[in-house]
Amino acid sequence: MSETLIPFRRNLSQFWRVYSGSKKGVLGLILVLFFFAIAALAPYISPFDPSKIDPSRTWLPPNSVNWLGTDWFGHDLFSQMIYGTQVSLVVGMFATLISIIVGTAIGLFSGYYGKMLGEFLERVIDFFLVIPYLPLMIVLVAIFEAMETPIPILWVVIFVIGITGWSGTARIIRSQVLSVKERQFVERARAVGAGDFRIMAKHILPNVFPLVFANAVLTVAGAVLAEVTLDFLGLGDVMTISWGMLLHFALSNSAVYRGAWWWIVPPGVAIILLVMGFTMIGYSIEEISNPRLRGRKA
Amino acid sequence: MLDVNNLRTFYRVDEGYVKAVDDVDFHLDEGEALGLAGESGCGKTTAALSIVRLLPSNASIMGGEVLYKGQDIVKMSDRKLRRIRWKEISIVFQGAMNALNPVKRIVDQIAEPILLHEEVSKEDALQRARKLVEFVGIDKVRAKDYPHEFSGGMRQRVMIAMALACSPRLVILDEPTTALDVMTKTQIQELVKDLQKRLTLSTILITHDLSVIAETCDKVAIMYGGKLVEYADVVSTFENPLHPYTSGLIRAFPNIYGSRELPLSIPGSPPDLLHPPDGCRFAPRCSMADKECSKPPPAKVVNGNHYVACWKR
Amino acid sequence: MLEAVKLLDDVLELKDLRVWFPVRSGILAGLLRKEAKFVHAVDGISFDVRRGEVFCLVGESGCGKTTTARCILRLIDPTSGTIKLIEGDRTTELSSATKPEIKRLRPKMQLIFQDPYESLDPKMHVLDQLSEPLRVNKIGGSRKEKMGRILSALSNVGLIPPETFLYRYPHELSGGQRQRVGIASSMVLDPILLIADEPVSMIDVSMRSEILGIMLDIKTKSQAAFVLITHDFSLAWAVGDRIAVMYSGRIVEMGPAFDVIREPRHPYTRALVSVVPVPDPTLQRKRIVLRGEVPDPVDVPAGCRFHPRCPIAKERCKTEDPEIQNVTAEHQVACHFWQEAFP
Repeated sequence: MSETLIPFRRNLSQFWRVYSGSKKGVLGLILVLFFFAIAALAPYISPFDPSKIDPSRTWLPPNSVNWLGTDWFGHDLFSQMIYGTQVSLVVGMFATLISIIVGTAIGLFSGYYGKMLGEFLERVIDFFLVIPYLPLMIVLVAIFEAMETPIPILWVVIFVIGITGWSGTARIIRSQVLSVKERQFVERARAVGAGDFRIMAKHILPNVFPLVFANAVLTVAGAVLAEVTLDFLGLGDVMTISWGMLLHFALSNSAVYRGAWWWIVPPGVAIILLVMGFTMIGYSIEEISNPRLRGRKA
Repeated sequence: MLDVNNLRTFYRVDEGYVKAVDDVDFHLDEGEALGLAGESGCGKTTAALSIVRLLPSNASIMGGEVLYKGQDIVKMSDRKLRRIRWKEISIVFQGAMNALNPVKRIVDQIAEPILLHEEVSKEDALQRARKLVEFVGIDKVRAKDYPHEFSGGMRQRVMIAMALACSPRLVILDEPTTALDVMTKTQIQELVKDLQKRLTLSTILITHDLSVIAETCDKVAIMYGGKLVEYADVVSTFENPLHPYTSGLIRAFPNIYGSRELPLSIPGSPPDLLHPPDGCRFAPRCSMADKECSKPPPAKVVNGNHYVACWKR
Repeated sequence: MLEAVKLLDDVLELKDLRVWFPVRSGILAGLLRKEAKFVHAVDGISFDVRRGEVFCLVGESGCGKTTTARCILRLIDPTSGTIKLIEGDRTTELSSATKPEIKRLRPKMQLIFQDPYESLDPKMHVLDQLSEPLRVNKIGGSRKEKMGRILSALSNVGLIPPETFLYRYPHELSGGQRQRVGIASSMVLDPILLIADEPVSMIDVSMRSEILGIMLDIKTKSQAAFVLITHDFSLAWAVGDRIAVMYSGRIVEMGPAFDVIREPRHPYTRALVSVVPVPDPTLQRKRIVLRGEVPDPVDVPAGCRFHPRCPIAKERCKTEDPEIQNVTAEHQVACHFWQEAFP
């Protein structure tokens, strides 16, 4: 009798009221907003141009001029960290967008259509779920780079992360669609004469959406990590400043051996905080959307 | 045996208190069958749960007493309460027949309360469970089946067997036959009546279906909007309903031995228990209501043994 | 039988409808299985429904009444038999109709659902809910005309003033109001056949009559035919014109509501009527409580399906399926020994 999915768009204020009661949700939101702010204000708050090289100031630990020290080339790491935020967020969000669109579409069709099409798509989802995503991404990026396409590598990275990350979303959407399509109001729509596409678009999707949203936020966390990983392995855009790239250059220039902790720790910590932020938001939304995850509510 | 006096049970929600049970009294003797009637939201389930203090975490008994054999359950310690629960008073929850553990055998599930509440060996408990299975009219060989192999009616018998596991004196049944077909309903009703006689069991039957109460209970308490509106023996209540809600409700059930007509309905809807009206809670829907009824809840008028809470009687 | 007296205002005619579902089983059973097993949900039923009448399909759960309803609306496919929908002088055979034909007829036959909480889309407000049928079937012309239809449908179900309900969401409405919206969304299409599947069983007793009253009102005004599916004899008594009692996929008795309930002939009907709850504690009657449960629709008993539970079953009943016999011109029963008294 009770609804497990709160009508989202109308009850924004009610949603906020519940959400703001969740400590981890609010903390996550603060973290994410913090990083968004940094990314947006990068040109104004960055003390130096991140690509500016000062050969006289290499391998410097944090000091009064370079708050986070410098790297092997003389780049100011603090500025690089600030600008790196932009890449993480942009790649994370865009890749997630692709994942969500592909995942929702496939999940929707797979859940709604039974028999041949549904089963086939389910196998496709399963296939993508069990493939280790990291080797897949590496292979795909390598192929693209070998093909020497004119597409900027950053877009390749976004694309690859997007199409390897959709299966989680698809599975969640599919199982939700399977249950929603059995609900009586879907039968009513059919009895009234609505066709499949209309039912999927107007009845099933809106009732599945809150779960999509929670899942999307968690996917961003995964996408950010994936991007960091690719960059770290040197497969990303070497010319773009990102946290993953910082780590990549740090390790390939023996920063550990030289004891240059300031080159490694800040990117690492930033990555952890950003991913944690998104994850906390995602879990919070999930808990709110799915009352069964909350404590017992009489 | 059971004396409920001025019971008040409220639910705490964000916006305030939902006054689910507001000053309700009734009384049950040994071997009596009491029907607690009312529609959804009237507080009957809450009242029953209050008797055994099995309320959800946001509900609390705000006042009144529940005297079982002279002792007040409301003020009892948890330890004492545990000795009463299931061994003296047990309950068949609404829809419980659908909440049986699908991976445990029926006989094991019936034995469970025995093992929990009494110091017996597993073998003894299973033995008693098997006897109970037969007692409620199920073929003994089916005791080792799983719930999904049982029909709805049979599962409800299992729930009754579970409730009888520790030989209680009082059994509360919350809508025991609502989801069942009419023939199965009758079978369960006959079973309960039979058990009442054989075991001198007292029962409280909670339901919205007045017909079932007419056929199986001795006394009836009608609840509306958290309040008790009428309370008397079944024959008096049906022959001479004093409260307008009672007569309205009785008339709402079509009678196949009566004339063929659309039963009457009661216009409007039940009150919001978060902000109930000050006066009589039924007044907004009552055809006899007038200015008098907007005053604080009407005085209780007792008519012999027939209690009614109404200004107009 | 009744062929000669065929009434010209039939809206629905069912003949020998059968709906069998294949039983799914695991691979082992599939390898070992010799013949396919079927769930005989509906096993050969025939009846007619006339304009402006309430035809009740009564029976316990599992008897096939809900399957019949969904089959008539072609939400399920029949296995065999015919379903005819008659609009004036035009007859369409629904069981063999093509998809476009069914789509064309959808607006003419509508379903009223049991669960007022589940049958409305929680994300759609009332206006959306009611405009969907119009939009999907391209009925109603301009936006203004559509709105006119919607407002009048809402008024007809007692949601007055209709304008105030247009933008409400289901969770803002009570159970009774939701059920009215559901009815309105069916009525907005002006159907000639309405199938109501337990329309009031999930609504508080004191408010049922209002919903039933709306349905009777609709019946009188539009002369639509109603098929009322229920397990509740009292309901059939109050609003039904004719009743068909179903048991295990078959109709065992059929006739005017008064006759079937006051003078039931089939042992099953007699038992059921004798145990219908009645709000009268002083009523004395002989209750025939049947033992056992409704049979498994996969392994149907041979002969008369009811014989394992029948108080007057005899040898013949175990092997011979009873034929339909006339009690009166309008009242039929399927039993070998319907004339016998009960012990």
